[in-house]
Amino acid sequence: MIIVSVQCLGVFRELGDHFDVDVENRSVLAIRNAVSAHLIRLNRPDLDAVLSRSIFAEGDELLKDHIVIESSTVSLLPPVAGG
Amino acid sequence: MDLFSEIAGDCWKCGLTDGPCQPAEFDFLVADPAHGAVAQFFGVVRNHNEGLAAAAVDYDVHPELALKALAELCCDICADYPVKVAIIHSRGIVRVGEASVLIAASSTHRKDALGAVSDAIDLLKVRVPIWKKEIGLDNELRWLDGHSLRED
Repeated sequence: MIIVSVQCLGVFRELGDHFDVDVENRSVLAIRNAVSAHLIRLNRPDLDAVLSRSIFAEGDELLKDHIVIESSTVSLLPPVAGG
Repeated sequence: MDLFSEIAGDCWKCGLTDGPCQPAEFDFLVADPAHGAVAQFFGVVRNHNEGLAAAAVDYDVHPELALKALAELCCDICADYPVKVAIIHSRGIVRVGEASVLIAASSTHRKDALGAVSDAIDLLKVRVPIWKKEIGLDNELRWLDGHSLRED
């Protein structure tokens, strides 16, 4: 298993600045599924619903679900609301 | 205005500042002796949202991604309009009545500047990784929903 650190932004900061998930590979889809399981374990179905509308990023690159990341850190970006 | 992160191109400049934006120090960023029009938009924190009273908004920002998105936005605006454009956005707490975003555009004639500013704020709201946590008068905190960056 691989440990991936998830940096929290927006409403996900309710979980702290970051949390770790265990994944079998570094695909974004695997990370998304692991984060979903983590949110369910925390009894946060509200955040799991937000997760479905959120996107991951590595550095300054937004990631589609089929991408495999190179590092072990991603940012979790909920829907944006600037202005 | 102190910017903790900024980037500029031939016809644009964008940046991020901690706390409220300072409109008085802004419009010179798009000054051009060949331009006869300057349009500005100031986004200001209001005292209510969805029927609830608000005291301030705490803006969360992914600085690296936000600056990249702002730069791409400015390039798109400059491709669509013959303008100079500048955008500054706040990070952290901005109180009611204070500005959280400044946009200015200058052009030879007014229509391009006005169109550029209008398009820029529309695009900013759906493309730039910034989030709002509203602080109520009772200090209750509410994260506001927004626009998904997912394309699917």
